[in-house]
Amino acid sequence: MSIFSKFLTGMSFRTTTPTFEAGEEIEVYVTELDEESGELVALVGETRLYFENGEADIVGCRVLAKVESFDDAEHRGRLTHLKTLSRGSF
Amino acid sequence: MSDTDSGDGTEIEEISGPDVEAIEFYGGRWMSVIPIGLFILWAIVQSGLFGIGDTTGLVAGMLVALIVGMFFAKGDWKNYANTIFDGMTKRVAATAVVAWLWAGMFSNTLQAGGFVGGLVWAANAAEVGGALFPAATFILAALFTTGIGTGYGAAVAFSALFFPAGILLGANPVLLFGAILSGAVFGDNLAPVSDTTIVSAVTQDADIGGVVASRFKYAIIAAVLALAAYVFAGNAMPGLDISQQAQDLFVQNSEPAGLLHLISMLVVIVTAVMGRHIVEAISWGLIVAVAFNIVFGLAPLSAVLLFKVPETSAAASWAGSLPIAEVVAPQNAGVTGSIYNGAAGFFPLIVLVLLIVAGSEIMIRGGGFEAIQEWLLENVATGVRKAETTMVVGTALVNSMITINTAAEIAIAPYIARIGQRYNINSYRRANILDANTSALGYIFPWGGGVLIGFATLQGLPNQYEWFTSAMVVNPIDVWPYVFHGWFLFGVFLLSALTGFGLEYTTDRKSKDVTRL
Repeated sequence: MSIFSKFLTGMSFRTTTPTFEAGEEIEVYVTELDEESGELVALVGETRLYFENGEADIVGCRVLAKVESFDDAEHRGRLTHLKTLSRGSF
Repeated sequence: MSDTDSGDGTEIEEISGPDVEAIEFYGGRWMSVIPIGLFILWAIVQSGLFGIGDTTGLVAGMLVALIVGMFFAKGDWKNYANTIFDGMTKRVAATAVVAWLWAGMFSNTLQAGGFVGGLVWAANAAEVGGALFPAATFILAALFTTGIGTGYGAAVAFSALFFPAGILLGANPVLLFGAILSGAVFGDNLAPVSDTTIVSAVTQDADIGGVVASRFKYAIIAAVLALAAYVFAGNAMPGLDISQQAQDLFVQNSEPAGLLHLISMLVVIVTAVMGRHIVEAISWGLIVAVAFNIVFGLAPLSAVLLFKVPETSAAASWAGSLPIAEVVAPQNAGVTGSIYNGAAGFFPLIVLVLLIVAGSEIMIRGGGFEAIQEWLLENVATGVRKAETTMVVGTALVNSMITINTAAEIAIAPYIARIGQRYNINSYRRANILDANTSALGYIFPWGGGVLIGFATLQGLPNQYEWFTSAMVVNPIDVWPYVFHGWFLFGVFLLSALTGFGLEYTTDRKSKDVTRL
């Protein structure tokens, strides 16, 4: 990323429900264990991404994950946990 | 404890995880809030009620709070005591401490080299009158603070030099003081070497260069609005009726050569852009600043470092011939100079911050942190817009209550991280929300550290100038509506949180290593 673009990035109004493409690899913080489904979930804004694998102890961790599928209408997606990168700050 | 890595091969710092020993408190997990809660109460009473902006006083408050908290801990107090050690040795605190020491040496050396005098000269050369003087002061104070990184230093320097000059030129005193504080807010928020910038980046796992670049858009919107407000108000609000001497005062304090230190600042900025470590970048800036001081006669080497050797010392016979030593009476012995004073100026804040981090660690292991966070997430931050609004208002409130804004920033930083990470809000955005509202609110209210330091400087002016009466000193309670940049910056972030302007998610882009500028 050039220095100039570093200054301009984010000059827009961002949605609360970002979308993703199947096959995309993303880094996210794991938000919580969903009470209803019992699955791990990462909230990106108000988009809910459910993990197909991973243990409960990665809640709060930053992980690398692959988007397996995404429903644009429902703002829901499914992820595969690839690697735990770090714990969250604090 | 963590066997994970950051993906680039660096080890992740140990943080409180499930395998550390929890502390149980009589009365439940909420009681672990006592050390930090008592400290906030102490800070409100000391600074808000009594009007004392003494950082070491806050250190005493934090020590007392840690002792009181111990009496509510169940079982062996050894666990409580060890938690204090664990908190104080966290890397997040050490990184900030190192950065402050280096930034302190650099800024003090720039001041020794007459940088402020250079700025005064530039204002004089541009023939700025009384009506435009507050607007010009805002710009120059903003540039100065962005270069040296300390808003408190700028508040002192500009209150001492620009304030009397502006009064003589016919500028409105309250507006002028507000402009000085606004400039301090701008620089504290944007400068790569600012203590609040460093804390915001380190606590949110973001690189400082990226943080500064990403917050530019917010800062510049607020600054343009503030500048327009100072131009308008400068023409609308009358100044005091004072005799001449304006030109004399300007000449007395103007040294255009001090502007050479713009190059020293540039060295830090360029080294920063090249991605060097913070210690390296500021060290290069410091070396250039010292060299300029000596080569161009801006300040002698003794202004940078001076050993005051007691005449009773065995070395007294020859030490006096050294450029960095002078022989003095035994009671005046010591070390001084910009390197010494620049570092020493941060000592009380360093101790305070280490103790606050210790108090936070007790709150984390006692479950109080989790309890507050759960309450916020379940009742207030129930969506990404509400979460960001909570982050903005929460940071502003804590900074409204605690005088030393860096201390307030460190106290609220863990909440910003946790709430933001819940919705995967990007580390740059979290750092920007944290720092902007910390910088803004620390210079607005009468008990704010920046306001108190500037006020203390103004109180000394009647002793320096015959024409300056105590009636010309601005009462801190009068200035709060006129810190335009502080208010606009808070407003810009409140609107950004409500509308999603500038919002980025962790999936949008990654930040670099936190120790890189």
